[in-house]
Amino acid sequence: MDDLIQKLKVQIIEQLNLEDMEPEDINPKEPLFGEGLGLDSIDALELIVLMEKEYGIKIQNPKDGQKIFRSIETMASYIQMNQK
Amino acid sequence: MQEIVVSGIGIISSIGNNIDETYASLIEKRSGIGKIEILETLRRDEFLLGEIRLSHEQLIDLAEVDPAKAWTRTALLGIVAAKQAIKDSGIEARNCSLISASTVGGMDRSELYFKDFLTEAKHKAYIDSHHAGNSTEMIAGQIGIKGLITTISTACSSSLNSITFGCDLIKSGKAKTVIAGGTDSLSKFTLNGFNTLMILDRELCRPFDEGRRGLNLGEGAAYLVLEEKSAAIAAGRKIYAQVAGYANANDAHHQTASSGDGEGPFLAMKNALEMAEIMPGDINYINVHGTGTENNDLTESIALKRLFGENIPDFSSTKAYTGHTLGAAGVIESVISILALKRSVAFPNINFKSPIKETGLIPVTETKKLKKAGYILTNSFGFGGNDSSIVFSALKKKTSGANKPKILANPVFINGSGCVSPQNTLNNNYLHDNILEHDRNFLQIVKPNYRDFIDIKALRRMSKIVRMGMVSSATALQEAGIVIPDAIMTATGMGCQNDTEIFLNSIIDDKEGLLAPTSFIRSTHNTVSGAIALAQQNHSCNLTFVHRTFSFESALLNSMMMLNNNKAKNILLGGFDEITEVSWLIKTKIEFFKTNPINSLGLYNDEQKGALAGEGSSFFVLSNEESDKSYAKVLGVSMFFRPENNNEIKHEISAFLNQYSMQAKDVDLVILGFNGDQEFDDIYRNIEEDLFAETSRANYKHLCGEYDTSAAFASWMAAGILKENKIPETIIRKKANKDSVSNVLIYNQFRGINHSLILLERI
Repeated sequence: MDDLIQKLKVQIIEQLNLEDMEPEDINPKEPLFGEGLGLDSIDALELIVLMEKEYGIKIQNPKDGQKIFRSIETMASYIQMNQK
Repeated sequence: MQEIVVSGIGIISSIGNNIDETYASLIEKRSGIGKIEILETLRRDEFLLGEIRLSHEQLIDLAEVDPAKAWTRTALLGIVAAKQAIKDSGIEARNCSLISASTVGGMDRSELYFKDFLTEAKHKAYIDSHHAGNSTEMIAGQIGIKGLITTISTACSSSLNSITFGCDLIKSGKAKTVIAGGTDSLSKFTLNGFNTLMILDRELCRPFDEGRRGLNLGEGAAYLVLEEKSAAIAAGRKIYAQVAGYANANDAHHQTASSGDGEGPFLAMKNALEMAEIMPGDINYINVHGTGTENNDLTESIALKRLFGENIPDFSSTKAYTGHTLGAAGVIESVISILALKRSVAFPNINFKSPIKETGLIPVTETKKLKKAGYILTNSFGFGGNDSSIVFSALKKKTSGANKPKILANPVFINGSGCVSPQNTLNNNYLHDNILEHDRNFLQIVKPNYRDFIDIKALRRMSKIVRMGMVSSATALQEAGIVIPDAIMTATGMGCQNDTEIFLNSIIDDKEGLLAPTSFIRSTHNTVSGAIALAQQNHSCNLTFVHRTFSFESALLNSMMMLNNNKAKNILLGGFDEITEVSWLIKTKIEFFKTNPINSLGLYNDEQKGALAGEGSSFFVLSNEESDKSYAKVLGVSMFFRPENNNEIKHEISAFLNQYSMQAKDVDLVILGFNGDQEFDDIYRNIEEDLFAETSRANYKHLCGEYDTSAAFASWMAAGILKENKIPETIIRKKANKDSVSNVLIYNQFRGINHSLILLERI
């Protein structure tokens, strides 16, 4: 799980072009949207692409993203549960 | 104020190749949306489209054009519709203006040949048909227009804005008759782009329905003939409608999503009603934007409730018929609104079942005879928060104002400027020292420290062109001491090239597979002006002109019209273009740009074909009042298209100067757009020898390179020269025996096609 969290941090920084951010700056429990990292609906779509490209997980309804992408931790556990 | 009427209509979309077919489809509830037959996409079986079911060859036949020439589908659709409009009204097209709109321009061909542009000579003809103004020039060429032509691109509201700009041109005496509208064809670019946003309904779209899942894309073109009312009556034209009121406002909420309170749409509708001098209760039918996306229809419902309260007029979206035709949507729905007015009917909102829970609005679902059809409202909203509304009315018997245009008489003041360029210009250092020499194939900007100007969280979303625009606009505003200007007028010839290339490459390389949305949403031409409005939370009018070397000049003209008509006190005006390795390389293939690196200071003697490519962004705060910060006055701007010979150019220059009681010899400094392409630089050489033999002459493209909006850089220079009363050594071609510079004329042209003049004066 820790390895996955670390990998996700790197991938998110890359995919979302989070300038000036290092993996250790992101708290895996911290909310990704709103208050926390300040991501928005476009970032959610970018993360949907990341999930499919890197982990083979398809998210059909963008609304499901709200729960899955709450934090790095929720993303990691969703990946663990759904990866074939 | 003059009154404007519609005296001719032309239209083609998936529900008909002319106005009669369009009307029949609407009342018979016949949608044009269906399985994909024409667009060559690998996603053919996944999506439905509102296609015009005519092949490229069939469209060439319908448009009656030479099949041997390189046509884009966008241009062909435009030609079909514009020819109809002219025939319908009976006007003489030659002296008309043509104001068009498009979002993707010639993308339908670019996406087929993009990878071949560098290798296959036979596709070269389509390299220059990519830009958004190309279809406008093709139409102008086909119908023989000699008046002002230009193009607007503000995403999905584009063609409503071309209609309103057309009306303003007539009211300001800049045109007598305007053909205004827009054209957009379907492309893999937009299909895959909207798919990345997950807002395409895979079934038929259902606007304003609780179960709506997104939009269906469509294609089409439409044009209106606009004339001053008494002139149209005197000419015995049939009159379809009067353009009673219009407005553009900005939602200033998000690059693509619309706001929770519907501020932009609310302001657009409210201000359009105010201009028409009517109350909400006077509106008899609204053709809403109603795309069928969750976000738009909810926001639009909220805005409708804010303006109309509990008494919402009959309304419907007709996007379930035509699909969302993007840049053409505004004018197509204007035609539909005019049909509603003429026939006193509200058209049904097909595929509607149950109202949106939050707002409960119920559109018209069967063709409904209207008891009264006095005023019809139509909405078009686009990315970049760009929201527009127009009110059409029946012909009013009484004329409320004068029938003479209000001539643009007053100069405007440059009260602030900011420039990002391949020189050290950001501190408004007027090129007296530290001139940078470049030894490259193309010139790139001196990179500012972006973080000094842009919030770090916003920065990650911004490509180079947006960053340049943000920095130079912030500098201009700061100098002028203005926080929120009354309007934002921007110009770009090629727009966000880098993002367009990224998305185009990924469509082709990934075979229309899994694509990320960011580069697509950033590829719209109004990305920069939207980002500026967003950063300022500025809800005022926000337009982007995208017509090659007419872009900046058109935005300047519109700014001057707005200031003269007291529609604004302070306007933020800017022109910007970016160069990329790929766009430069592609244009070397058609000899627009030089292939081999040169020393930029030796530009004017270089024998290689083409210009030295460059980039930059220059912004100004224009005001109708002088301030202690004023640089100079802008007296006027003029554009002319395809002059037949050098004599016609000289005549245009003399006629322009004559408007300001000047002759060529009265000009103190003429800045010429020499770009090192010897063939076309001959035009300048001829003009300067004949008209400006005794005048100080300057050139500037060794400093900034050639790009479509480089006249903005020249204007920035001219403002500085007039303020300092001093010409920097580096730009002098010939110095006259005169120490003082009290006025500057800028003459720029693109390959003998688009010519422009800007005249500035010292305060």
